[in-house]
Amino acid sequence: MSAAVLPLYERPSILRHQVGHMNKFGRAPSARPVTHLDNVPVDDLVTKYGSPLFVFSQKTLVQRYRELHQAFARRYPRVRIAWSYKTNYLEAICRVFHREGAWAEVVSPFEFDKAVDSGMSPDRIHWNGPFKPDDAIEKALRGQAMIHIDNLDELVRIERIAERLNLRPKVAVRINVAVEGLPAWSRFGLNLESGQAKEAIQRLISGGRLQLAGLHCHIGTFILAPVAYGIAAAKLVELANQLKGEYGIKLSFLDLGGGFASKNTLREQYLSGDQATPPFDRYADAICEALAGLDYPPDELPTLVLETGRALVDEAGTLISSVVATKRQPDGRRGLVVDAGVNLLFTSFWYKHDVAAAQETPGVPEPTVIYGPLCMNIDVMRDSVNLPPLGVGDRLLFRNVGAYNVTQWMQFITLRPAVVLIGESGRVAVIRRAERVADLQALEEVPEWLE
Amino acid sequence: MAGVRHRARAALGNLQSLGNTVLRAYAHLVFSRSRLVGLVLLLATATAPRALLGALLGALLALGIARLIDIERETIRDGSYAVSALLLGMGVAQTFGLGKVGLGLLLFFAPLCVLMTAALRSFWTPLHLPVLSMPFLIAFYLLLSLSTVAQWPFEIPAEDGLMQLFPLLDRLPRVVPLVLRSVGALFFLPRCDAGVLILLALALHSRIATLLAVLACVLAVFVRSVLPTFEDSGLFHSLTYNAVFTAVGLGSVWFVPSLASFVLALVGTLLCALLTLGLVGPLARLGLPVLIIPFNATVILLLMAFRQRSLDRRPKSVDFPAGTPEQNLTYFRTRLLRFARQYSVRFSLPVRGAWTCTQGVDGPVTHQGLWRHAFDFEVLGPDGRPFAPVLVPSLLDCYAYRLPVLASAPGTVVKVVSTVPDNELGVVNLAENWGNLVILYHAPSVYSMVAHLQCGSIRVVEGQTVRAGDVLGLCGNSGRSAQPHVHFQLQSGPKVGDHTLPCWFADAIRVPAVGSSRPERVIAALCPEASEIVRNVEPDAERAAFFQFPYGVVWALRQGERVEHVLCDIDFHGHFTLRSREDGSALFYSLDGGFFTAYDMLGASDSFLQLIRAALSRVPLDGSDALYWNDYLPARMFRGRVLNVLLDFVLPFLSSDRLKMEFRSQRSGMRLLVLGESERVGPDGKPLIQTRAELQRGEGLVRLELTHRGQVVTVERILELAELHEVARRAA
Repeated sequence: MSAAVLPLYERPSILRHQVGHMNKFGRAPSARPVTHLDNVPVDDLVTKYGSPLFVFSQKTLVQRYRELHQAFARRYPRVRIAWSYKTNYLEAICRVFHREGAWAEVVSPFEFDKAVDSGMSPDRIHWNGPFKPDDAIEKALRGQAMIHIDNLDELVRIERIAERLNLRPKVAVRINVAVEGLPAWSRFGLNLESGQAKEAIQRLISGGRLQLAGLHCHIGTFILAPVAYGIAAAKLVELANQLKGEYGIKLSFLDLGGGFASKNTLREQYLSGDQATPPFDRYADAICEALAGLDYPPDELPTLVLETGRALVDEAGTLISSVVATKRQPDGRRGLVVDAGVNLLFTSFWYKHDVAAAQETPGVPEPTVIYGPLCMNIDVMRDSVNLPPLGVGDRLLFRNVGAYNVTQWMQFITLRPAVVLIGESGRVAVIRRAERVADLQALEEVPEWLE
Repeated sequence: MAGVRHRARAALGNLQSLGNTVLRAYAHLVFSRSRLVGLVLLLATATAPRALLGALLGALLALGIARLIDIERETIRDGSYAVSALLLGMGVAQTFGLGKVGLGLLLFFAPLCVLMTAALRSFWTPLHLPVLSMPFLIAFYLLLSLSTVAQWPFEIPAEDGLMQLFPLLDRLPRVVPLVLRSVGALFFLPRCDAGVLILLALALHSRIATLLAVLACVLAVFVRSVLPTFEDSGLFHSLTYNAVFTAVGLGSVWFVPSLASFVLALVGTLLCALLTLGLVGPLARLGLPVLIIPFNATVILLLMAFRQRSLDRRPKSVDFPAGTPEQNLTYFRTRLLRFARQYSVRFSLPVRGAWTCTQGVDGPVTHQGLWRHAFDFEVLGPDGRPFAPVLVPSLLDCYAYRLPVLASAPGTVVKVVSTVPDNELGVVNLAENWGNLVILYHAPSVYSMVAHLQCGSIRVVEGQTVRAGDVLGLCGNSGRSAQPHVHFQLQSGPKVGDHTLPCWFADAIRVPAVGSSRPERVIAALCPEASEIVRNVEPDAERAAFFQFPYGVVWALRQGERVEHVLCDIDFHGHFTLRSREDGSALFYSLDGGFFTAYDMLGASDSFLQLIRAALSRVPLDGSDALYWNDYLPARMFRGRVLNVLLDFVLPFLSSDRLKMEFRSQRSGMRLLVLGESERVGPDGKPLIQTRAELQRGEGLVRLELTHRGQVVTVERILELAELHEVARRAA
């Protein structure tokens, strides 16, 4: 037998279960095409602003903000949301939240300055983070910003600066607590269980320079179990009651940090996010139930501060991309090359993003791998998702991408595209124009010997 | 020597204080506290020296006795303990003379008046009823009755002969001297000159009261003219002075002057006239005159009757620190009327956060008939449904389920039902219609009820007192409730099923739906309609900090060349005050209930405080930046002085003597802007008044702007030399 008559060898392919088909684990995400965003046709957006394109919905931003605020306001009399700048600090986005009454939560001098520049008064800024340079601390103290002390060295530095400025600033202490069932989130702040936090607070009091106004605790990120917040809040409440009993300190706020899950699906998560993610009400139930243990008279209750970022903004953001090439992978999967890569969608390292076609596409959905445009092996947006047979020029939407992407994106290999906002009235405006080569060149300088 | 001088000075001081007390006692006779008014009344009694002497003697005796039995000093100084003895002194002097008999009677009966005043006070003050001239009446009747037994000689004081002295009076209608004598007859001085002085005192005290007195006189004359056999001038005297004092009392002292109070005064005066005419016969048979019984009886009758009203309005009773009728009217207009107070308590929404009213007054489902004034509140998702989008919703998926339900006003728990099981979604329990509920008592005939609470969630017990905002229980689905909601109503009694009362929520916020271009708006008295989203003002400590003006700080405010210094002060009674250093003008404000509120402005009309009053009339201390609200400014702020004095006479009838303003606040960097404009527009199509106030946290007010008919007045805070030095010192 000659080799020519042998049947062609076809490599067997074994694919693991796809979250996507309607089965006992849930339904297929994005079975229907999404042709409009807030009633604006996707095609119009691309025609006018190009592809790829980040689109934010003001309506969703406001709706999510009010959902979160109301979930807590209906249960606890004093609630404040501080907008987590690092999640998305595009000025227009920040303004939407500030207009709804949000304060700012920043984690660097850059973010602090950015918040102040966009009109936020320093006294409505909570400042977190493990590193706060002296000159920035001075600026914050002068502006009466709320500094959350991360470590003892910082505590001492703030004391010295406050003494030099002859100020008695109000500050908060960040603590970390052990929550059964969650990985330890002990990198930031001072540990409660080891007694470190209490010691630091005693040190703060005996220093006589700083006034303790609040406690801050952030238990982690993308927490799908509201009960964890209940445990953390109960520990904060116990500490607050102790401080009141032992030192007569009446706190003006308790900050539960952020970390509420958005409707995204983590890579290791089995159920899809829109089914697994608890609604805000469940988080509110857990936290407010714990806060009922506060030993404070009703009109002196500390304000509950939330620094929720992801869950507020994720759903409002969509990345529109276009298919630039199709191919068949050796393993049988269909391959799509789109014009948006991991340089724009940093979160694709964490999430199985919800992907939807922007047009009706006839044909049977099949497992598809989505590649970005980078000439890099890592540039895979989804390694297996059920999609109809999209062709070149078709639009593909990555949904729930509002958080972290437009702050963590990279100018790498390609330039970053425009970001637009669809207003509540349906008007569309560019809130960050597409980068041009000149923008980057402007930062660079060539030494004279190379000219 | 120094000791003598000191003692002499102290004695002089005591004498002066005694004199003031006597003058105040006099002033009490026309419901005034002014010494000047007292002096004019003293002059009225001086028209008959005997009466003056008797009055002073009676008053001094009374004050001495009051001191002797250790009545509280301030109450004595107020003069009210001497009023009855003062009247008695005049009566005794004028009828028995000040001979042995007269003096003896006075010595015994003046102390009796004090005791009776004290006794009546113990009895009536808890009921908020005035003692009036009751002690005098009892003492004087006793005295007259005794005199017939003891056969002491007495005479009715004669009318004066002014007609002969002043022929001019002849030209006037005959009723004028008649009325004047009648007014004087109250003091046993049926003389025209005494009458004129008494009316003058009244006019000094209050223009509104004078108007009422004149109307009462007209009424008395009218009654006299329709009764053809009315010849007895003594009867007419009684009729007139009773009518005058009833009208003044009801129309302007115990009720805020208004059209309604004038109507009440008219009704009271007629009643008083009937009483006078009806009592004269029976009393004459006992040999006694009518005196001032009808006034006392009418006033007490109407005051007690009006206690049973559930709504304190038309006319509004004076249930605040009373002043002159004009002051009462101003106080009411500047402090109370602005805040839409319907009952004696203010109700807030019984929930936290934003809820949707799903059934309002006259709702088609259950809010009908006797139970029409009720509200259902629910929490709806963005899709308009009450539960999260899940395949098979259960109670736990409902947004409202297990949310806290609050006391909407301070009160006492009178009824609790807590054991009705919660229904499954869509199921109703008609046997226990109201489900789990709490009924609170707030004021006579004003109760509130929340119903359909979660089984076992109620946190209060019967008999417990609660504050506004205290958690009563959790929202549930018990009773006639197919999905979790809060049913709220005001009702007239403590029983389940008592009929409902109209209800307005004070200072509630109407929340627009997401995507709506309308802003959030504070409604002074909100009666939510179906599908409206509403919430309470949520006081925000950070916003309140803008209005915490540090005690003792002075703001130097400048407009062009003019500088005025405003002191942030707290007065003796604990009221926040902004006080002008230059002219002593004062602006009172408060910082509670979730609002900064500017109240009365006393003093110069050109003080910058007027601008503050206009620009910072009222500011909700809510953290939201997109909040609008309304308030009213007294229209007289923007009128000329002459016009205002003329308008005083008709003020009680001008219900809308005010400018409706629309305000909003906005953060701008470290500053808070409060912007306002009047609803009424000027001839140029722009708002008649536009205001803009800028505040800085820790600094207070930094800039003010008021535009009135196109003219802009700008006032700015400046740093004065001393402050500049301080700043320089700190920088160094």
